Amino acid sequence: MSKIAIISQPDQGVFIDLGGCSSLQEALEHLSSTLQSSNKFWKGSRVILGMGNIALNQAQAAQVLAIAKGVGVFPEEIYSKNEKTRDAFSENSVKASAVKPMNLPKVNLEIPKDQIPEAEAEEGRAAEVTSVSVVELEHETMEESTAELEEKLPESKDGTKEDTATAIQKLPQVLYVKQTLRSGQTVSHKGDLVIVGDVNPGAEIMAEGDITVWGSLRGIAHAGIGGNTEAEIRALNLQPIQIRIAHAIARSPDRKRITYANGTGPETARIFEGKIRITKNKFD
Amino acid sequence: MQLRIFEWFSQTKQDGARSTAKDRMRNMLTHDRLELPAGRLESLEEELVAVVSRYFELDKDTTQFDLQQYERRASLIANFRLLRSKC
Amino acid sequence: MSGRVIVITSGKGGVGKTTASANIGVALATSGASVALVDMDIGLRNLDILMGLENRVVYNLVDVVEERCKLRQALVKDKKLPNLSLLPAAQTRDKSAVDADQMKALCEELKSMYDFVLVDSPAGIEQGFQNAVAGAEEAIVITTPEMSAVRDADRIIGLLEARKDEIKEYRLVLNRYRPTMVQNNDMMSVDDVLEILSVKLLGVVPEDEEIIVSTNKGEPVSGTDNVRSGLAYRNIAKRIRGEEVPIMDLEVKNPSWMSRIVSFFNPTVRV
Repeated sequence: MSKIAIISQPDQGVFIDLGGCSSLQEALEHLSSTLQSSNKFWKGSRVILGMGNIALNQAQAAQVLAIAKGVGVFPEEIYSKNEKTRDAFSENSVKASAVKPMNLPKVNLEIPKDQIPEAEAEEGRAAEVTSVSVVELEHETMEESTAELEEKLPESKDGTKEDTATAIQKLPQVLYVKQTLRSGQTVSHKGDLVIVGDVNPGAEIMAEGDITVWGSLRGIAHAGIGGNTEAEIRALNLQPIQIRIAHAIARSPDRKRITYANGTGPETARIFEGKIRITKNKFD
Repeated sequence: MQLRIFEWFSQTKQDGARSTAKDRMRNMLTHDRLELPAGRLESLEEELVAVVSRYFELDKDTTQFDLQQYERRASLIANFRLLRSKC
Repeated sequence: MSGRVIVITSGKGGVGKTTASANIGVALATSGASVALVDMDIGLRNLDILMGLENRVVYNLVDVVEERCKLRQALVKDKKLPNLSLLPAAQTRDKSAVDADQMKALCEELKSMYDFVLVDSPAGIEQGFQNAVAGAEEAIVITTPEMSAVRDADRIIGLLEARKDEIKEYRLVLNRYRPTMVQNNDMMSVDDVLEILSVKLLGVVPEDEEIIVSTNKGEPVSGTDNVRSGLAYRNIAKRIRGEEVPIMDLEVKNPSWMSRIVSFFNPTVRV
């Protein structure tokens, strides 16, 4: 498992995030080994490098850029929370920014008007679904739950090999379930959950991380159990009775009954401004 | 056509599924409520006839056993035609 | 406040027990009473669908019993009637998730909150039924005029009688009644069934396609006017509340000479 996150977003380029690494040495190791082993799918697109909190001087910044060039990555822009690091990259004539360029998953959360299907435009699927709080739940505040999560995440302070190894072991694993889940069946998992099949009404799936359904999601899905508000639920056909992410709950519109026809196309549900919103995934 | 004309004049079928259902139902429930296994009643009847026969000469052709229901309670009514005492 | 806990049961599945629970609940709530509907069919919950509330269910009865949430959090308010709430069953558990003592305690708590607590029992006579009955003081037995359903209803009545100390009253609802078939002597009549079962009648609900429509909409018929089955359920609710309401006249009027002649020549026309 790599500590580098590569996020590709159509129209916006590729974001290579080294923010997960805790030291320069670790960042360089991961950058070269990970990027060399992967096929260079980012060729031709705009590349942004994320440095997280790592503090670098000018020479070190140059070293990072050299390694990146060595594996065919030519960063147009870097993102860093550290002012010193930003200055160091500026001195190497690379644009540095303190604002995360592709603030995934918060990018593209608002569904543009023209993307909402005609029939649903008035009362809007998204509008209905976002009217959350189904019953009077005792919502914990968002800050509290994220703080809790950060505490739980493995930390490697000095970035030694052993520490990294244990950290990797603690990282959530992905569970693949290759079957259709029928009414009454449940799957819950500590990490991310991938269902290859349908989730029928009456079935329930839960994960501490993300949930991906390669099929139709018509039952109940709960991602981010334990309070991870960044968790997402995505499905090829997203028509759940109810979805929950962390402590937020959204239900299907009342007028709409369970249907087996009319797929929605791939969609993703995530929390935006404390409410669950659904975005159409466009692949073009 | 003949049958339809007959039905038309008689207005209702006399021997419908209704009365069959009712009879079967009554019988079935009597057995259900008593948790009576099949054949049990018959062996009781045989024994009763045997006991009564020790004291009386019976007209066996007219002996009757009837299991009746009233207010969810069952009663067994036995009817023996006695010809004469055996003593 | 101390409400009445009424279990709705049938023995045989598929006779319309859950539909009856939903409709009686809606009818009672429409008449102004506060009502809690409790779905005890753990593992096969459906009452939420009939009520059109399936997308609002967050916690369920098992969550309450296992103290994962408070009772009030698990109660789902009806969309139209604020004085009607549903306590859903767990779909992903089985009947052993709740025991009779827990059910009794739950009913006690609900009784203090609502005028009526209607418990929708699962089909069968096993533990699920025993648990559903545990907290109840009254019972409504649902049957249809079919032999298998009547037989199972009789079994249930026997089990209810054995609980004389807890179940003070039980009454029958005859569902899916088809007056034309009875008149043609093809089906047992109300009186036939009552005579066989020797039980008090609470109501007769005619067979009605509107029931299927209402299930699909998630709006029980008793909330709609001009529907015969809905009227029957509203009458049942009135009788539960102690009103004297005559049993709806289901007799098909004697066909006129004219229509009988029409039907004689054209058998497809029903009179």
